[in-house]
Amino acid sequence: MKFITEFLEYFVIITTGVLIICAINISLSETHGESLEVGVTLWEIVGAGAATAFVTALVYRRECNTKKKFIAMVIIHYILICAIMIFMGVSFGWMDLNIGGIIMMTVSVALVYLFTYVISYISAKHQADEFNKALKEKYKDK
Amino acid sequence: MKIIIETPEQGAEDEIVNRCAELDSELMELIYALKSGRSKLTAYTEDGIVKLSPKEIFYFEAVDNKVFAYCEKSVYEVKQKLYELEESFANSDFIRVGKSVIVNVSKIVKISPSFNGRFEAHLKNGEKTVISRQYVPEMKRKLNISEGGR
Repeated sequence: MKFITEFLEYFVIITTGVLIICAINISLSETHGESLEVGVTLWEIVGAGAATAFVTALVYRRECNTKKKFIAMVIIHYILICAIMIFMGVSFGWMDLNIGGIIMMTVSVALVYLFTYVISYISAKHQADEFNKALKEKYKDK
Repeated sequence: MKIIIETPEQGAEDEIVNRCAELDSELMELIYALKSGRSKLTAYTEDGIVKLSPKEIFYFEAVDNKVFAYCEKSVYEVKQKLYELEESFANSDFIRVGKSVIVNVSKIVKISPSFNGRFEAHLKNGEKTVISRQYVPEMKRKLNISEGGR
């Protein structure tokens, strides 16, 4: 159940990210996505969002106690997401399979990573403020 | 809550009677605090055995199949397993925050955000411990924070 909840949380954020990646890559590809059908592409974005969210939920299930382990996990996750996005991008015609296309895809995945990190940090900061307020209230006499 | 203190008859044992409509978590913690205030945990050091009051303990950590109790400046080994400690201290200020850590919430100075939905608890002795993502809902319950906020 916890896995499903986490998967759905990631799915919402990541699908937004995939949508941005897809839009950037289609705009910058040589064909500008002329051969793409909107009705099909939208479902492809949902599919890519689901695939990357599934991998994300799987990777982040592991508990990392040290910063080193966590950084290693982030790098592995980034490589996996890039691989999935390049495979899907080429299969669905969102990008061209050449050095430029691959660089553009990895850069746009990195940008989405940054976007997701900032969103998560803002949300976590808000939660931390709630925790601190509750701590002060609960232990004000101690 | 009304508090009444009566002097017992001569020779009678001291007792605490609690009359309440509902035994809520706050009351459970109070009862536990009364009971655990007297009970001490046996801990081991190289120099011998010591009795630790739960109030002295900042956190427990399991390392290589051993469990350690971390106090303000000293560390002791305890013989209980982490899950046993979790059960014993269920209605107290102690809470599981990771696979291998149980922290005394009353020793937390502040909580700050960390990576990937995790948080860092800054303790009164200057140490930090990680609150794993999966234990965040439990921490919220402990601090009476609803899922949607306070």
